[in-house]
Amino acid sequence: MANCRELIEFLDDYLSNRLDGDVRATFDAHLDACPDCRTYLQTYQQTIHLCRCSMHDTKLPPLPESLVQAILAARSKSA
Amino acid sequence: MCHVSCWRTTIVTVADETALISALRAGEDWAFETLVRTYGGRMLAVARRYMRTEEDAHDVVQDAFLQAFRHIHSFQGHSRLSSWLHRITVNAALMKLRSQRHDAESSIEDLLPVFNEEGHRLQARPAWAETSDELLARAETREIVLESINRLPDDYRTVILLRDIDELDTQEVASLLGVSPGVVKTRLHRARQALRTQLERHLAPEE
Repeated sequence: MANCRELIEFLDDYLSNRLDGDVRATFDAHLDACPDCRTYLQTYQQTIHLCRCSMHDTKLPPLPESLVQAILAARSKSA
Repeated sequence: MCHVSCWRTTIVTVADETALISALRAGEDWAFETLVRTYGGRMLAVARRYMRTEEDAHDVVQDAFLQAFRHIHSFQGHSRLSSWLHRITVNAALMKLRSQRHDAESSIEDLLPVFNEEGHRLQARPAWAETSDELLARAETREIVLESINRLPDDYRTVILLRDIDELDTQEVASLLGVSPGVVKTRLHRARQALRTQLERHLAPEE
């Protein structure tokens, strides 16, 4: 059976279903027996979810008029 | 509930976009202004994620637009204009970050899990007190998450933004950062673990 370190090391592969059947089975067995790793796995997934939602959950900012003008002026200069 | 307002959401129809691209290629002034006003806000939102100051985010948006103006003739139309501009903005942000790198980055070792000689975890931690949906319903959670991401060293913060937020694939990120796909995978996993530890300090129940 895998230990905690091995599970954590391959956690991303485990979650992405990139492990061979036998290896995956040893990690499944470890998770069945180890509540700490189950908690870690759950909070690792929560981290990704919170990160994704927090970053996307913002209103699009308006582009300041001064920046619009600066960009158009820079274009004229470089044209 | 997570409502992802995707960058690639279209507010411009394909017909509008085709007409705009033709006008840009013809050098029409109105087209450049329309491009800036239509897509600028989205590009600023991307630039703000990568840069630590508003001034740097503005520089990135300006650099990205100038790149886009210069290369509009090579835009193939295989993707939407918004996706193309997104990619240019991310590139401009990475270049800016690269140019600002002076000191060695701080370590995240103390945010990674610790094991004994047999490979068993030394510090068992409790589950978080609330589900993700409950946490996201509170405005302060978003602040905590954003602050925690910003506390990560740039090498780790950047890979989280590219993979987990902008959802680029490993190969694409490797190519943008000039590292191997293996390095991207390792860095992303370490970054997520470090971020998890930082969030745990706020989100796990007091012992």
